Amino acid sequence: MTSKNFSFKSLVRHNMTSRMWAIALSVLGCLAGLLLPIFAIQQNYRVQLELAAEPDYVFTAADVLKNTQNNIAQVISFDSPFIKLVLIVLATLCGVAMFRYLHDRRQVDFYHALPISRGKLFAVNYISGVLLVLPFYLIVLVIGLIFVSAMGLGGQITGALLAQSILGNIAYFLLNYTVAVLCTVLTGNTIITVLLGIWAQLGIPVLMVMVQCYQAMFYETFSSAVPLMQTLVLYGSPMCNYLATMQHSHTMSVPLFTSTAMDTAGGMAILLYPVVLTIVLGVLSYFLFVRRKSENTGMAVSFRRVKAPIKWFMCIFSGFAFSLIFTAIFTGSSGGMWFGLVFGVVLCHMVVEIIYDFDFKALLHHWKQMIVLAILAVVVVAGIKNDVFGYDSYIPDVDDIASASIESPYYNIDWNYNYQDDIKNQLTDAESIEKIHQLAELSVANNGDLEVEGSSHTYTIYYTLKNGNRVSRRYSEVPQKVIENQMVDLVTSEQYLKQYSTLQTLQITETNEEGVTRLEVRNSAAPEGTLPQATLISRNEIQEVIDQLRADQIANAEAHLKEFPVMQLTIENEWAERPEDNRGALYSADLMVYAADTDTLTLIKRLTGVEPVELTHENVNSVEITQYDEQEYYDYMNQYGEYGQDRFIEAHTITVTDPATIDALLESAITGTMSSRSGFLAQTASYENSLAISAMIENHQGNETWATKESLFYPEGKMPTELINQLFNAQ
Amino acid sequence: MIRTEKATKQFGTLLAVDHVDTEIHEGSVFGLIGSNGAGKSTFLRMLAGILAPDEGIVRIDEQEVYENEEIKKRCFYISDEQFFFPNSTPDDMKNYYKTFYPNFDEARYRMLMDGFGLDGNRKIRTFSKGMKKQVSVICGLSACTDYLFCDETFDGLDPVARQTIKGLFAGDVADRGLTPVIASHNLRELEDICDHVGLLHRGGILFSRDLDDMKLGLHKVQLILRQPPEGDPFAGIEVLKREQRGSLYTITARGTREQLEERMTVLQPAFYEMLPLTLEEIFISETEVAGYDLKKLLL
Repeated sequence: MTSKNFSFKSLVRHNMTSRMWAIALSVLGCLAGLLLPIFAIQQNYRVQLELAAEPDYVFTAADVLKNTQNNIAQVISFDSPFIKLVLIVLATLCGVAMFRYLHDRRQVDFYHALPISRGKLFAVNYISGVLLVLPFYLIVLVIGLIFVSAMGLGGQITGALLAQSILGNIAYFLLNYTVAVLCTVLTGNTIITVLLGIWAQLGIPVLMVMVQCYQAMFYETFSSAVPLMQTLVLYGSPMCNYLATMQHSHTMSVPLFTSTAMDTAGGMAILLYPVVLTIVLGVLSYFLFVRRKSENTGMAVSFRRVKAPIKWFMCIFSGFAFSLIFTAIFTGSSGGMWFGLVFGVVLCHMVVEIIYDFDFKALLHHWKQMIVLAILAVVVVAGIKNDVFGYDSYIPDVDDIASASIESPYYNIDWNYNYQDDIKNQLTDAESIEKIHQLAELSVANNGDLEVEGSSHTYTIYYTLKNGNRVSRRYSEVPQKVIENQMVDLVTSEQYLKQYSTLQTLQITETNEEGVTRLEVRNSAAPEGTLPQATLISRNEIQEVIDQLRADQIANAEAHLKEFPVMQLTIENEWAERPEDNRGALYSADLMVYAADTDTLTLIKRLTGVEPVELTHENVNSVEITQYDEQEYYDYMNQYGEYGQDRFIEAHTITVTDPATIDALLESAITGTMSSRSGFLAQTASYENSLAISAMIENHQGNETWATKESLFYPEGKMPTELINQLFNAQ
Repeated sequence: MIRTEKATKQFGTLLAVDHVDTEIHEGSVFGLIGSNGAGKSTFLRMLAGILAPDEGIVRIDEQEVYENEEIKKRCFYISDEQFFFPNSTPDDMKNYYKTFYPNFDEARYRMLMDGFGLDGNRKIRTFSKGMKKQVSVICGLSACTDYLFCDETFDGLDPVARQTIKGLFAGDVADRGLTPVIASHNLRELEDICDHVGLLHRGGILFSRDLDDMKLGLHKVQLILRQPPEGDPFAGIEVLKREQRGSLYTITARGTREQLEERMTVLQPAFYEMLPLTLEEIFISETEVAGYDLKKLLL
């Protein structure tokens, strides 16, 4: 009789009907988060359609429809921030509302005197809170889909996209709802619940950021782009994680699903985070709810045993925060840092004790703990400062490394830059990992060694460990002499080239009728700004040249590092569909040919007739040389102002037109274009006395003649300094 | 039967209920008296299964009450600060209680609501304090539970309602063996309904007695002696309290009526009268014997 009488459904129904405000809020929120953006997009669609009817409008009606469908799909998808924000707010409100009775003695007496076990009461309240929101979210979503379908705007909404959106939003709603429930159960006062909720959502991410700040302050090799930390920031807070998790991977956020991965187990695996965390926190909430003493109503924290750990964490957090604030205020002063640290701990301890007792007289309660915490905070920061954890000297064991890469602005195989910190771009072969590991050992041993002569370099080494962790270290003052051989050995290896070289990683699409894919050929006599000397549009010919150059690059990698190029190939290539929006894009890259690439040069000559040329009086009309004393220049400028600059330069410039002298000046000269795209070990001479040399290069094609001014550079030790001085002296 | 053994409840450093041993038999009306802060409400909340004892046991029919759904279905707790759902009506509350209490008697609820002149569809928030109390009591009586725990239930009720409710309690005790446990700081409230009383003080129970036994064993006698007595005129009887104004003596003495009348015959007073003792007087006498000043305990 009794068990028959207890009706789970009727209690849930009662809970819901007595909270009509929450239902109203859910409906309004979902309307605002889903239907309102859809209506706005639909309105914009109508406007765009009218514009598309105009003959000179940039988009056709089909384009407008496709864009609108994309926008609608975005709103419906898991990427929509509107519905996420709405669901976070609703999850928090309902979580607190369903369990807030625990903060009122009258209600606690009422509910706990009823013949229902705490476990069942928890289940009734938990489910009621969920049902206050999710059914209405789904109803509004269905209404939105019906509307979108009726308007013919749902073309981009697929079953997978809908499944991703619904599952993702429900999973994260439950997670945030459970966090709110847990905070409400843990506390005995609603204001403290709100504070704890904010803390639970933002505490760990902010702490991670602060730890990064400390690392940046104290560790020489700290690398700000440590993916593990980023992961911790995102995964440390359900709300941050929810907002940052996206369906598509083109954003900077953590991808939930890639556009094609939803159907795979891997794509769905990302959902494990909210699902597992919801289960863990849900079980914890249930356990705490059942164990919670009714008499703890009205207290700040309902469980005596968790009071101290929460306080400890908050005090250390506060100490870190004030320490960083004081460091910023006193511009890096270590005194400010230490004072802020202790001040933060003490202040937080006092505030927490006042909150715990709801009594200002509790200011100095547990003062011994306060002192211990302040000392602990100082010890922790001192430990970080003195690198007791060996951060700067840490190198993962070579056997633990799954992949690795080096990001260096100097030791790059070509001037096109690849994202070497991206895990997908890391080297995975044992030989390369070993080389990088050796480099790391050299770097640790020599970082900051200023006694070695020559320049020093800055670079970052990234590791992905076999356990999935990612580690990076940035070495900022390593003498070039120490690492030169290892660096060259690494960046000229076939594995490295195939991974990072623009030439090796380039993808060539099919040539269409408009000749979108083409290869422009230039030698020194046809610098940028002039017409190319030849253009290949045949896909086969382009592919043949690229393949040959790839082979030559691997064979002559060292020459590519140390020499100046003799020919420039510019490929303009229609990229295949970009994963993020399925659209093509024009991709342009410069590929340099060196004298050592004889097979490529022969092939280019066969296909285009173009071959490398020396700069001589035959392709250079004149050479201008400007040379002046810097002090004289500044004195002149001070006297005449910036308007006198042209006159000063003119007075210190000579123009050489004599063929023999031009040939003598051009004997070892390299154009600016070729110099800027040269191998990184090909050094040019430094100018002295504000010397600038430029050549007026003529480029003949058919009946047309193009002339452009190019700066000239010289390999180290090849600059005709004597001749230049003679020319100025003769003037 | 309700039985507590060394039932203890502590709130931080405050010992609210301190090792209380008591037995409350079925069909009796147990009055729990004590000053404010004596621990009455806490003890009652322990009996109702709201609070778990920190030490000792609280059992009804030999089963722990806390988290025991079956036992709690036989108990109804009327708090001193009642809770009603926001914007609810008495009928809403009735419907909610019906979900939990299998023997809830809707016909009785209607009858009592009509009897008290309360509108079941009126918002409770518009009721007076006394009317809210009446709604709670009506729900409690209609739930038809075996045990009814009332915390200061008569506070705020007008005398008519108070007597009516006492009558209802008495009726239920007689008809179906209801066991009300009524906590109050007002002895007079309990006098005409309780048959067993426990006195709580600072969390501990000073004593727990059957009211009839106490009344039978204590008497108040007023007498005028013809001449000044030689020695103690009341030697041989246990006098708990004695007052003398001239030749007029008022004593409260322990013993049967017959024993005291026999003594009066020996003394041959000019006048004597056996006066009824109020519950308050009984308690004052008993607690004074125990070394406490009841006036201080209850005021």
